[in-house]
Order: sequence, then structure tokens, then C-alpha cells
Amino acid sequence: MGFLEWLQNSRVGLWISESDWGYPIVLNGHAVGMAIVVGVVLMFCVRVLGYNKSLPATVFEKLLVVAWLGFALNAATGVLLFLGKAQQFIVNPAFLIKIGLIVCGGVSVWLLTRMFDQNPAWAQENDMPSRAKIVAAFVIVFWLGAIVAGRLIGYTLGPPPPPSIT
Amino acid sequence: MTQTENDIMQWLYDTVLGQAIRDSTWMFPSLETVHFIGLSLLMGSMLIVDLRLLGIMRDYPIRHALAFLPWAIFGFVLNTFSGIGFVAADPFMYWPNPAFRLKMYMILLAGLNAAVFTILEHRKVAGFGVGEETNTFTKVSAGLSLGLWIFIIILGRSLPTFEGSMTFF
Repeated sequence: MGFLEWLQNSRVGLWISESDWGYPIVLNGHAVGMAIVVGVVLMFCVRVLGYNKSLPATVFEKLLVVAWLGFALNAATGVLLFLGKAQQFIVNPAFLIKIGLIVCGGVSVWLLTRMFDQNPAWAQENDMPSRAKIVAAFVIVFWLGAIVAGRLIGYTLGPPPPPSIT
Repeated sequence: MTQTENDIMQWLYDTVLGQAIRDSTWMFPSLETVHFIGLSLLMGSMLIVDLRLLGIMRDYPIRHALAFLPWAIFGFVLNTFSGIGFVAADPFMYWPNPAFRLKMYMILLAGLNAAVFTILEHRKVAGFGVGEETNTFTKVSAGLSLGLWIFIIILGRSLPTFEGSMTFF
């Protein structure tokens, strides 16, 4: 636990856990980033699943850039939030499940965009093939699951461990 | 706080809904999760609409962007109902909270902005094709929409920060 404790006691860790504005500012960034990444990704998925079929699904190539910006914002703010209570997060099951779901969510979105790159003909298709729809359904489950797990962290985070004696 | 405000909050507090949410351990967290999913749906669809109206995204006709608006409305409805649940569970925390009041005013402003756009511009821009630029009025309205919804998310997430205070600073 030495490294995690060192992280918590770093200047950034203390800014998050002890300053008046550090935690609220970073948490706000995390909420806005979530809305951007999950929101755009969900719209991409409902299009792949058959909503708004007359819209070429390839326009999401550019819109997904916006989603990845939200993802980057949340990776950055997420690391900062982690630093504030590293020792508590690392043993929290909801946190570990959330990280797993986000990795799956990110990889599956990337997989879906790769399928689009490899099948340029899909740009003209109204109906997406079922393998794209299956991936889109998984993407929705992963990201909604990540929101559920993330919310549960707030209710299940344990108390801080006693400081280690060196 | 006036007597009337106090009476309304007490009534809300005593409703079956308020009692049920307070007595349950899982209802409040579940409503929060619904609220987060709702705001994501609202934000995602508004980004597609507003970025196109602003001209930052131009490679799809505007009517295709507007076709995502039902998801924004669905998200808003989810958040209205889950939000009523939060307030019913603890009205004496929410109503005096300056972040809550400002959030409600900003939602009204965002609604007014959307109504003005719908009445004045919606029908006109719905015919705009790939690459076609909207007028300044529409761009201001779209920029205002994105800015307001982001501000509304921030105000909501800041509710605990301002809990118990009567002013912002």
C-alpha cells in the first residue's frame, strides 16, 4: 500500500481530498465528460440498431471524436479523483467493476468503428448487419453498467485506512 | 423562507413518494442512476443537433440531426420524474440550496431557448442539406443550448457543495 499512500499524500492527491474546490471542480468535469461520452455513444448505438435509418451511420465518425474527447476528460478527471482516495478505491468492488466495464465499453466502441472502416459499403446502407448490432447492444450494456457501478461507489466506499507507521 | 414555502415543502415531504424514497435504501441510488442516464441521453442528442446547427458538424442534413430530438425529450422526462423523487425525499435540503434554485431557473431558460428556436427557426432549418450554414440567430440559440445544459449538469453535481448555504459565496 506504500505507493497508493504516497499518491494520496502527493500535492495533487491532497488538492483533491483537502482543498475546498479541488474535489467539486474535478467531479463536475467528470459528470460533464460522462454526459458527452455516454450520450454520443448511445446515439451512435441506437442508429446502428436501426433508429433514424436514413442518416448515414458514417457521420458518427466525426461525432465519435467528440465522444473520445469526453472519454479523455473522464480519464483525466477519473485519475485525479482516484488520487484523492487511492487506498479506498483500490479495494472497492464497485470501482473495480466500473473500470472493467469502461475498458469493455471503450474497446467495443473501437471495435465497432473498426468494422465501419473495414466495410466502406456500410456508408450507403440503411440497415446495419447483425454483427454490428450485437456489438452496439453490448456497448449500451457496458456504458449503462458503468454508470450504475459508478453511482454505487459513492455508497460503498469504505473509511480511510489508518496511516501506516514508518 | 415564507410560511407558504414551508407548507409546500412539508406537504411534499409527507407525500407517499417522499416517504417511500426516504424509507428505502436502494430507491434513491436507483433514481440517481436513472438521472445520470437521462442527462447522458439529453446531452448526446443535443450535441448532435447543436453542433450541426453551429456548423461545427456539417456533413449531415439538419433534419437527420433533429430526428434525434425525441431522445432528448425522453432523457428530460426521465430526469423530471427522478428529480421530483429527489426533491420529495428531502425538500428542506433542495429548496433553500442556491445551486438548486439557479439550476431550476437555468432549466426554464433552456426550455425558453428551445421554444423560441422551435417557433422561429425549426421549420426553416429542417430543409437545410449537407454543408448548408444556419443564420447567426440559430447559431446563438444552439450555442446557448449547449452552454446551458453543461451549466445545468454542473449545478446539479454541485448541490452537495452548496448544501446548507443561503448564498453562493
